[in-house]
Amino acid sequence: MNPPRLDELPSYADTLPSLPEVVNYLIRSLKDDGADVDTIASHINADPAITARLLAAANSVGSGLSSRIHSAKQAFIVLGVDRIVGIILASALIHRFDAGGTGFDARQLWRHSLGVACCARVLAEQSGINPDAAFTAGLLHDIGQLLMYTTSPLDYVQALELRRNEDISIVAAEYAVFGYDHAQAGQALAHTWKLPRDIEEAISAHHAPDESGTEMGNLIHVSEVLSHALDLGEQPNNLVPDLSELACAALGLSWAKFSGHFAEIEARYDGLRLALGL
Amino acid sequence: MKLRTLHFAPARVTPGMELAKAITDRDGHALLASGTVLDAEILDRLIRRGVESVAVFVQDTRDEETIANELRLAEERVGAIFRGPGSPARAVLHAAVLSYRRESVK
Repeated sequence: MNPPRLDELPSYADTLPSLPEVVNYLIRSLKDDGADVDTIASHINADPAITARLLAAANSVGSGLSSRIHSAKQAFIVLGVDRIVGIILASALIHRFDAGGTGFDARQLWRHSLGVACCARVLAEQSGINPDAAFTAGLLHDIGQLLMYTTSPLDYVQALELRRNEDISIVAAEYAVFGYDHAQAGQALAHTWKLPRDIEEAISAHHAPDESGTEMGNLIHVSEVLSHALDLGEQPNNLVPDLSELACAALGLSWAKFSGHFAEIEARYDGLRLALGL
Repeated sequence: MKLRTLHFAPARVTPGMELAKAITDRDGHALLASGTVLDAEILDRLIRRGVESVAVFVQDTRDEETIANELRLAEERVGAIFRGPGSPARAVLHAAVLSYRRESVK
């Protein structure tokens, strides 16, 4: 059986588990600076599995704290709304989409996505871009790979083997097998899920930012390349993708200056990996 | 014995470690000065303030041969992951990462 065409993909979105309600709510509230703790906490409390993972992650981040964190609201007050939202999104996505099987390592993909999310947060902090939206876009940027694997596991494993055997990029390998790549697949999914437009654009643009030239597209593209360059996610056959001159220029990025944040990015990534048990 | 500066998430820091760099909050306000010895109470406060990375001094117990070996492995790994052609921007990033890895091993 042939893999689905790109225009057929959205109808396969149902083969992926839906986004948990709390994740939908949190992604939509990212731009709402006044999101109040009680409302967010009540959304979280409605999902016992997410509450349990949040408390485990919060206590891991705060392993040096003198007292343990017992409730979602307490986690917000002790660790701050920004950090808890990031932890909940990552934890909920990783567990909901822990697809994987022979030839496809979903946890490896999530380690990479977490690496991109950490790079995106620090780059955003330095570039005056919303760091929480950047973190979320980083977490979701490769969601198209999960959709392609879920709809056609054998074809996707074939693309992964092609990438390894020919030492080519994942995008080139996906094109050879499917006729489209995970950035296009991810955009179709983001559209179906009605994710915020800047996140959809970032998913679409992360391998070819110059075609759209959006701020979040540039940011996630640079974060993707930086995450590979710092070896976050430790893929055995890691290959740093090409880096767009235009995206770096648009962000006003100087590597000589920004390299002063590399150690901080690695430490923050390590702390989140620890918290999420990845 | 030589001291190295390493960055850790607060959850990885052991009480008794000494800060190698001052800590500021997200708004740039100074929280702790370089040289502060981190105890459980301070770590507690840092976690509550949302600090996700701290630079601390660690005793360097490695001999020269170990350091030379770590340097060689780090340089080889950077060369391997940056294999193949790329844009001038990628070459600048390659140089920045190589320089960072060399400094980190020292």
